[in-house]
Amino acid sequence: MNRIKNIGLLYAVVSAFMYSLAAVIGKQLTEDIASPLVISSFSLFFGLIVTFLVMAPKAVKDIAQTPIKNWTTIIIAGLCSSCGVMFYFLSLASAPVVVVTPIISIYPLITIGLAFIFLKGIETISLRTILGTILVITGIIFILFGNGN
Amino acid sequence: MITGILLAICAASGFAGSAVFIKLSLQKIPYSGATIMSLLVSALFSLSVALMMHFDEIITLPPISYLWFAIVGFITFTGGRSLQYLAINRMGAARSSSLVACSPFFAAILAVIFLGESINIWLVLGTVFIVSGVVIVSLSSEKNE
Repeated sequence: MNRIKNIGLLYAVVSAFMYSLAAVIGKQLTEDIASPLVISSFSLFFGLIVTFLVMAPKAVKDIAQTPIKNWTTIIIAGLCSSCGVMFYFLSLASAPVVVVTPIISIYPLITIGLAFIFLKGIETISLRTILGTILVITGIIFILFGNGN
Repeated sequence: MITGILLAICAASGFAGSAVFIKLSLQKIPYSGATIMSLLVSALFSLSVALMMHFDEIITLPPISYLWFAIVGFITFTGGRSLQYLAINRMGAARSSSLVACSPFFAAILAVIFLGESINIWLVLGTVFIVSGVVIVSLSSEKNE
């Protein structure tokens, strides 16, 4: 059991490292190679190809069996994700990685806020959520202050 | 700099919106279909925007650029996301999210080493507070589950 958790821990840490590496390479690309929108669109395109290769057989079957009327929410999810990636590369082009990455990492907190609004009954706001929110807002104020100096 | 911070908040809101609507979608569509469909919509939408706004730039890009785009796509989607899902499978969503939320620390180290970015005490404190806040929220969601 511990071994399974330790491997999970390793996966999570390597995953965090991969996201950081992508941010650093993305920043460099926005400065040297192309505009942020071009980088975001092609990285999504290549991400789609890789993911499709991994999931193709089951995904095609799932999509074929899903009625078109059920596609609305997934299309909205895709549009939100697309905006997220585009704004991500635009922000990397406008500010240092050390500023952008901590702010991007607040998205689980925004997710809880949105889920509380849109998914009533699924998410609850606890004392820990409020404490976490206060810490995150304080952190953003510190970062804003740090950029003023 | 403020523009960059506002854009980063917009990006975080986009990712959050996507997570909420994915959660809604999963009540009607199986996971693999939802993942591919959302990625397909994302890629088509952003490619359309990029083609409309930067067509001249795209047709003159050197071939090596596409290799770099593929590397970023591979690192983010295969390296980052797949490993995150494997971690969720092994240790649960909340604990793995708490660890993945620490990525700003790795990013800061890499940015200082490879991009020559500078950090000050306020940035360090800000990052520590944000990561701590996200970890606390992630662990609290585990309790709710």
